[in-house]
Amino acid sequence: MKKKRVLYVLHNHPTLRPGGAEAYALELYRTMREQPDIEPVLVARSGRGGDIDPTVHPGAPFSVVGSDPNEYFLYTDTDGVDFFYETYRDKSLYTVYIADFLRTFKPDVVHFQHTHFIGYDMLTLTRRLLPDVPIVYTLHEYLPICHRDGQLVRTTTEEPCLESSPRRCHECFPEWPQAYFFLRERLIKSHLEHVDQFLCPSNFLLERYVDWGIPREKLRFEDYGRIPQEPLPDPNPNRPRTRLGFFGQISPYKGVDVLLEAMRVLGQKAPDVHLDLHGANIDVLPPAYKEHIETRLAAAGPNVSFVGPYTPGDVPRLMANIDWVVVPSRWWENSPLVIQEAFMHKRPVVCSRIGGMAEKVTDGVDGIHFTKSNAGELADKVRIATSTPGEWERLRDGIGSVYSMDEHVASLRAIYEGLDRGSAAGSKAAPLLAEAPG
Amino acid sequence: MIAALRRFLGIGERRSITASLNDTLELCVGRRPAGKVRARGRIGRRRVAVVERTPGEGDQPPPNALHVLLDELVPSLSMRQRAQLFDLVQSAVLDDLSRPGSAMLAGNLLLLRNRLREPLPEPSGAPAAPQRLIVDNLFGADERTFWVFGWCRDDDGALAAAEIVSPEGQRAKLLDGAYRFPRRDVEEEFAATGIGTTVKHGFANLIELPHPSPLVDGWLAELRGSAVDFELSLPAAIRDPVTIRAHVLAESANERPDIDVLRRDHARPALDRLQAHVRRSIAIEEVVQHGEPPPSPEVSVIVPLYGRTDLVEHQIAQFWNDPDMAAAELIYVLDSPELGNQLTHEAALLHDLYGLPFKVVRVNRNGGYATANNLGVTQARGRLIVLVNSDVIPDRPGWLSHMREFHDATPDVGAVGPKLLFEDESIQHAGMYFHFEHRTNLWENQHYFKGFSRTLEAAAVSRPVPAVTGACLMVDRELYQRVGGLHEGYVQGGYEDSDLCLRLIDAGKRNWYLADVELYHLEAQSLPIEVRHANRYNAWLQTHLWSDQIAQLMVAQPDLPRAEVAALD
Repeated sequence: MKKKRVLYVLHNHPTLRPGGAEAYALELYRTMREQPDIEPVLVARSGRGGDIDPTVHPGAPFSVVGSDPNEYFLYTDTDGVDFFYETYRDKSLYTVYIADFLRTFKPDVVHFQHTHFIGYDMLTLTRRLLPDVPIVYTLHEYLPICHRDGQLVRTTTEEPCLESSPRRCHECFPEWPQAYFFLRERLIKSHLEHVDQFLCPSNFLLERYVDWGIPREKLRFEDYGRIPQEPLPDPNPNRPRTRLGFFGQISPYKGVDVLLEAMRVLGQKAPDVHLDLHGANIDVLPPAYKEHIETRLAAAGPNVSFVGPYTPGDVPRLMANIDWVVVPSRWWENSPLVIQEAFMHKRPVVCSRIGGMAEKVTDGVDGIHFTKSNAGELADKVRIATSTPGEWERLRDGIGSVYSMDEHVASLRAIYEGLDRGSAAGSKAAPLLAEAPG
Repeated sequence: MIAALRRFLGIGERRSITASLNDTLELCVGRRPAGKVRARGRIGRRRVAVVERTPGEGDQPPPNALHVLLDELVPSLSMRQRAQLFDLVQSAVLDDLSRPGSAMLAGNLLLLRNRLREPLPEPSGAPAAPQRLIVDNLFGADERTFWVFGWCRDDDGALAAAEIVSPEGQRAKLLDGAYRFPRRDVEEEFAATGIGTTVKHGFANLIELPHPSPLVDGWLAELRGSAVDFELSLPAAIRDPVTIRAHVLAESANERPDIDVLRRDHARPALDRLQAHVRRSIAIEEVVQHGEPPPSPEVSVIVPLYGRTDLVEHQIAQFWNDPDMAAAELIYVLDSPELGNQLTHEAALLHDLYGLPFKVVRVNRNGGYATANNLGVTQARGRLIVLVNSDVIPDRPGWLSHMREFHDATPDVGAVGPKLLFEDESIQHAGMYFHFEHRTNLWENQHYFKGFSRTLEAAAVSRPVPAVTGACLMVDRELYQRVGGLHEGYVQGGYEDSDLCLRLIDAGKRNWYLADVELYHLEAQSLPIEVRHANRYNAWLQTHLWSDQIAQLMVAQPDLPRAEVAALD
């Protein structure tokens, strides 16, 4: 029986630079590799800007990652990327090299995990070269909608944003005239039109893309699947549940400064509460923000330990050492992988009451919500939760099972099947843009 | 020693000498000339002739450089004989200035002029004799037509004649027929010497020489009168069309009661000559067809590109998946030669990426919006043409066949223009009308419902309108060519479209606004000053050419209140 060849396209390989979506995508690829009737192919972008020098062959952006003949780096030069239109300026990347790759591998399904650093043009090219092949696109954030790193956070007020328009986006980026945001949206939509099925790891994200004009029938909720992990036994099961953990990128959108401010308050009111800060990518922060975080870290008392980067393999041990996972993001988030990890390790989550976080964590059931950016409220809620006997155990018991990679793979296989042939043609005929008013 | 030199130079006992004026013409003094005689005469006792030399004819000694002959000859001539000699030579060869390679001849005429002319004194510049005339700018609109701009103060009326002398010695009256206007800067500078402030010291004059003047340096002005005989060296003639156009447009954008005189008698002929001059050297340099064009397209879409090519990608991204566009002929016309190589490269890749066939017409130099479109139309095969700006992006597929169906179903149709939207969904264009602007006394173009909601009921009605914008305009190709295409006398992309629409009305057609088709037009927000000057001139030209017809037309289409317009017709 011929295996179904599924091409996965990814904006970064986790061996080059850690990242949640990347780690998930690699897990998915490796799980798919175990399927008897599926032959996955992985293309992950490499390029300058990472801390590991990518392999570059003269005249060939593709190179193998290791011994796996189906796993490739695709080199693109960061300076060659137009980050406004999310396109690679030298179109021969598509017309020569990626075209060659697609013709060589002839995938039966192309599943984009991301096109950042590669460009949306690859969607159009794929559709032109492989007119009958289903195109699936997993939406990890809001990059097509929002030029602010896809975060839906306004540059003017740092407030989350629910309304993109040429005028509003121009307010965030005065250096770009309104008309350019119009062109940006039109160009990106012209490429996204070729996607048969968008996968949305949160309903919140799904609704944002409906608002943006993607037809609802093309959007489908599908959370990240995770390879189940058994929690390690707690070193001291009878300890007071006063240890907080932060896991993830230290970026302005993640709200680490809010958490540090809450820890300063807690240092006086509840000195037993401790925070382990497991943060990556502090080296690539904008200098001003890096300084801001470093100042906060220096000012924090003995109740904060900055542990630094970690690998996925470290997570069980790190989770065993803490009791609560805090997700204090200032942006909407989508489906934070750290919430799934916390739940797999039976750790209740304290998170901002917005977007994908509020969707994934139920206040009072498996975690606690606080008002985004409100360090005082965060401190209060942590103080009350950690000092209320039985509260941690109650919330821990409220944690349900996490969507498993096996369930996810089964669902993806059904999606790929369903898009095959007839149904794919039907969905392709649907225009991306809703009919204009008037 | 001198005798030997003379023998060497071929100046024998008979004191004869020849010198070349250019590759074929020679000036012969003394000896019977060989070759066809253009002109002959006697200067004093010497025989002088201008002859056409036939190469290889006889064993004539090679001609000398002209200055050698002049060194020999001039000291022995009276001033009157010198003038006679110059007139003889000049009148014999002026026609040759129109032939290719006239620079050497012109250079020799300049040499003759300088050696044979009796110079007037230069002005002393002393406080008692203040500067009387200055030429600030001398612009060559073409080889024979010069825009002279400066000032002249003749408060005492002493100036009887002012002549301008070209490097080749052609003369023209400097101030006759000039447009005169006040120059505040001159009045301020000479305030201490009691300069009149009611006198118009400034002048602008379009001067036409009978023959081309290819040299840029060597211009003079000669002023004569009671106690004012003197001459001035003039600045070098400037021939860069962009500089000249900007100057002429800026001068004719001044608001003076009599500014129409400048526009009519000087600016328009200057700009027309300039455009005609530029136009003569404009040619299609290359036509590259990317992909297989449709075999017999009904519609040709023509997109002129000027100064930028980045919007091509945005259009093609919207065009390629529209079956209408695949059936149509898409023609990009680039008249920014500096972007030619870039576009050629980008276009090939965009074709490879999107697969949409299109044609790129590269024009060797910029000749303006009308010229680019008219050249594009010469490459079009469609029965219908659509002029489309590069910043026009369709809202959805199918717009082209909608326009075509409407066009073909409408009797006596002229131009058809769709609803155009800004990026914020407000209306950019729903047809155009003419508005008489009292501040400028000109008919200016206005867009119906500009800035109003896309869903405005009044704009939802297709109807005849005075004009439609060239940003997106469909017209029958033969009709377009029959009425002369876009008028190339307008400058920098403005009013060519309304002028075309007026000519269509003149030809018995009606122009239509089509409400059902919507495209976006990302009209530039801020206009550079040069464009505002050009628009003023263009509005004047439209008014000059069409005011009666426009007035008649607008009686039937009052421009206010706008909401009522939809009810008309």
